[in-house]
Amino acid sequence: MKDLDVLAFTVELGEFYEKSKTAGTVSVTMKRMTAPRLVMTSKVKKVMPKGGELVVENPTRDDVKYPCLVRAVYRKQKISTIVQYNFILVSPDDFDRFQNAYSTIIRAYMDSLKKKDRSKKAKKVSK
Amino acid sequence: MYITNWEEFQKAVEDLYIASPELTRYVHTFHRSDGDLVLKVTDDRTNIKYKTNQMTDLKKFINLNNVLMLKMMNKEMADEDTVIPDAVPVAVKSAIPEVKTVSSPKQTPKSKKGKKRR
Repeated sequence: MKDLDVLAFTVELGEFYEKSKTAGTVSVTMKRMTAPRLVMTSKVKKVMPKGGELVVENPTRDDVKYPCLVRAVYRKQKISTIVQYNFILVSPDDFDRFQNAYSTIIRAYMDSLKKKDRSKKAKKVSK
Repeated sequence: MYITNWEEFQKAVEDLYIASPELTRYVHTFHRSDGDLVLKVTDDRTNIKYKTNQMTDLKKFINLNNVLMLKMMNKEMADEDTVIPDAVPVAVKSAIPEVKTVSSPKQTPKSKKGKKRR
C-alpha cells in the first residue's frame, strides 16, 4: 500500500484511470479517520497523522475536524492518502486542493459514460 | 440493494451517515471499458448502492463526493469567495491529453447553453 500526499495521490489516480481504459476497474474508497484508527496508524508509522492529535485527545467534542482517508485500487496496485483539516484559515487546505484535483481527474477520465440520448427528443420536436 | 433514483440515493446516504458517522464508508468503482459507475455506501450493517452509465449523473456524483467528504471531516462548506488557486500541478495537466484547457474556465460560471436544448 503506497501512502502518498494529496496531490501525488491524484496524479497516481489519474494514471490508474488511464491504464484502466482497456480493462480492469478503479475503485476509490473514502472514510473518516476515527480515534482508534488514528492510534493504530500512529503505532504502525511511528508518526501521528496531522490533525490526528486533536481527534484522539478530544473524543467527546462535536466540532473536532477529522482527517479523511482515501484509498484507490487498480488491479493489484493500491495507493492511499490522508486529507487533513488545515488550521491556516486563508490558504487553501488539503481538502480544497484534493477536491479540485479530484474533480478534474474525474471529469477528464469518466468519459465513457453515455451522453443524453437526444435523438428521440429531436424526433418529438419535429412532429 | 440497488437504488435507481439519484434523489433517493442521496437522501438515503445522508441518513445513513448521520446514523453512524464513525463506521460509514463510501466506495465507488468505475469500469472504464464498460462505462459503468457504481457507488456504494455502507456501515457494515446496511448497504446502499447506485449504478449508472449516464454522463448526466457525473456532476451529481462529484457534488456528492464533496458533500460526503465534508461530512466525514466534520467540516462546514467553504466560502465561495475564498480564492482556491488552480491546485492541479502542471505535471498532471500534461498527463491528461484529453482535457481541453478551455473547459476549466467554462465550468465555473453556469453556462445556459447546455440547459436550453431541452
